[in-house]
Amino acid sequence: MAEVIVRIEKLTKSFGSLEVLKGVDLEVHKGEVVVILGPSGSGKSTMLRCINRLEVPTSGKIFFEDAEITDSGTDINKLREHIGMVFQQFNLFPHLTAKGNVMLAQQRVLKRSKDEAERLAEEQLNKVGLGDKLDYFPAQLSGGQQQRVAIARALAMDPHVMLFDEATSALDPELVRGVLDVMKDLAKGGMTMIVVTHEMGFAREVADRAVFMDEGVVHEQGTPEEVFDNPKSDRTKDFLGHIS
Amino acid sequence: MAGLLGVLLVAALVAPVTAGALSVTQSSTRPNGSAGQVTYGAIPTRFTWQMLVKEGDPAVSAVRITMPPGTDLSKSTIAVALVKGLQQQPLITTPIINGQTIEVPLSPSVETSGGSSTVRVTVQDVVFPARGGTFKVESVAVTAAGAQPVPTQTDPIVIAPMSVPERIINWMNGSKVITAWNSVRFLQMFINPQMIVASINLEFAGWLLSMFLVLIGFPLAIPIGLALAFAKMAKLGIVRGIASAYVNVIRGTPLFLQMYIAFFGLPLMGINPNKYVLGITVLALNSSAYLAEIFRAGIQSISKGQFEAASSLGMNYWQSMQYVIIPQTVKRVLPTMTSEFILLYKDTAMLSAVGVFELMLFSKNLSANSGNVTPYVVAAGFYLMVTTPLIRYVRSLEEHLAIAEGGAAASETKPKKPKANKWAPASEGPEAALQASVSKHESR
Repeated sequence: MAEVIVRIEKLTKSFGSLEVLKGVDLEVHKGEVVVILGPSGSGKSTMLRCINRLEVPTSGKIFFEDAEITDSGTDINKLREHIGMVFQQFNLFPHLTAKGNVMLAQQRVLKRSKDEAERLAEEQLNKVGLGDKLDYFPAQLSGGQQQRVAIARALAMDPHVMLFDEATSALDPELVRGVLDVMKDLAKGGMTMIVVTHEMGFAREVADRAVFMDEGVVHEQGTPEEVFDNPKSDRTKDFLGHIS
Repeated sequence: MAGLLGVLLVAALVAPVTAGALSVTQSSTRPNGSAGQVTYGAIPTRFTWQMLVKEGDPAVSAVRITMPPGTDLSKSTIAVALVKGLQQQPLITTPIINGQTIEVPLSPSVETSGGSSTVRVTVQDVVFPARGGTFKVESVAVTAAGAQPVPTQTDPIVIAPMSVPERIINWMNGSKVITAWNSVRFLQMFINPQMIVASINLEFAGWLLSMFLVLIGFPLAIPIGLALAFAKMAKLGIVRGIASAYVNVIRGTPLFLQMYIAFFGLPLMGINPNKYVLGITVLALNSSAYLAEIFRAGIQSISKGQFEAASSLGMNYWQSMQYVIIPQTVKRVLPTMTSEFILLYKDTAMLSAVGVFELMLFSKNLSANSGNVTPYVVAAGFYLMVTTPLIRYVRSLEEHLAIAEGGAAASETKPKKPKANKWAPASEGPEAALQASVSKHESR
């Protein structure tokens, strides 16, 4: 099996007295597509956000490649360059055009020249099917288009792993597909992806591994077939029963 | 030298024979301005002319005085007197005014038996040309030998030109309509046309200073306010504490008090800064505290997701601020910042209390000197001239912002609604926090 790119050990996270993560262990290998499933409030997103330290874990360790994310001495900004993230609410920069959104961090963080950043931005936006919307501002784009710009923005940084935090949950149903198609292409291209989603079809089709979380712990994991068709834990069965 | 002495000697010998000794010893005007030693054209004044008749001079039966071209003598009255030593005796004459020339028949003729004497002609209500200038008044004495020019021994008269406002006021003084207007006590007191013209003219310099104070002070307040805003959001408690204390003290005490402390406190410590520099400093330091709150609320009103997105791309705190948060904040705080500019502009008036000659102090002095309220009304006009367009600008900015952020449909169909909500009690969320800080601010 390929090398481990992200390793999570005994991760816990509390918000005040509320314990959201209660000791999560997870390993993600290079090139793997891991889909995290589970009901709302199960800690999926919090775990994802701990991986690039948008949330600071209460205890436990997270390793990314050779570095320990959870070590306060780590230059987290340096690691974040290699960890792409796509948010539920897109979080595009509203004062910049689609191209400007994709160029900004390339220029300021990776110190790429304006010409290079621009060329790569156009390339990425073409890939997500927005080659004709380069100079549109986020407010002029549909939700699905905005999310695809956000994916292009993350990809332009040449990430080693991509985190998707319910990337299609805020979209109107007819716009979901375009975004999922982009994600599928990405998976086929060999990108390492950790995907928090409610899209079961996508999980079945694309995921190498499905992980079921509830109440802050991982209850079950395995191939999509194992988890969807022969769930072992009652919680998983219950969850799958509710959504299908 | 010898040549000059020779000429003088000849002149001295010849003079008595030809009666050339007659001379004009005074030819002057009375100052008629509001202050100083200046005689203005276009306003009535008094002209005094004296001719010395010495012993041995021929008897003078008439004098003719020619005023500068353009002089108005139509309303003039002329008095003639004969001065001998300390005695002064009015002469009954019938002077004839002919254009610029005044002809004064002297009957009986002025003779010099018993010592020299002086003929004095006083012309009341003479109006010199408005354009002003330096004029020589020509005089002619009529004797038995005929008419002869009399040399003038004094300097030519100097008439100051009247400025445009002075000419307007002068014209107004003669206008029946304006006189009628001013006969109403309220109008005369508050909207006196002459005072309006005079005030606009004199208060303009004060307005320029007020603009100067705020146009230097406000830009200085912006970086200080921004620094304070970041300090208030700092991780270090002590930094936050100092910034909060500063902002609370400044916002919690009157600007008036702060000015007194600066203007009367520093000199007691032996520090005497330039009062304009000090005035600008006090304004900038005061405004920075308000701007700090505006900026902080503005920055915190940007959704957390923006910061997270920037962070997830590897941008550090300052890069996120500079390229993502601040550019979005600027648009949001622009209306409130403009309101703060308006407040600061009006606050320059308080500097009048510590002797900075800005618009308010100019109008106060003018009003005190004239006993009229109009200078204050004009000052109000000067303030409104700047604030009215800015208030409109703030309103349009707010409407644009409402459309851009609140969704076009809501703002276009119901433009009143966002404004009505504006001052409602803060509900929740960063937007509400921004508005809450604004409404607190407005009530200062």
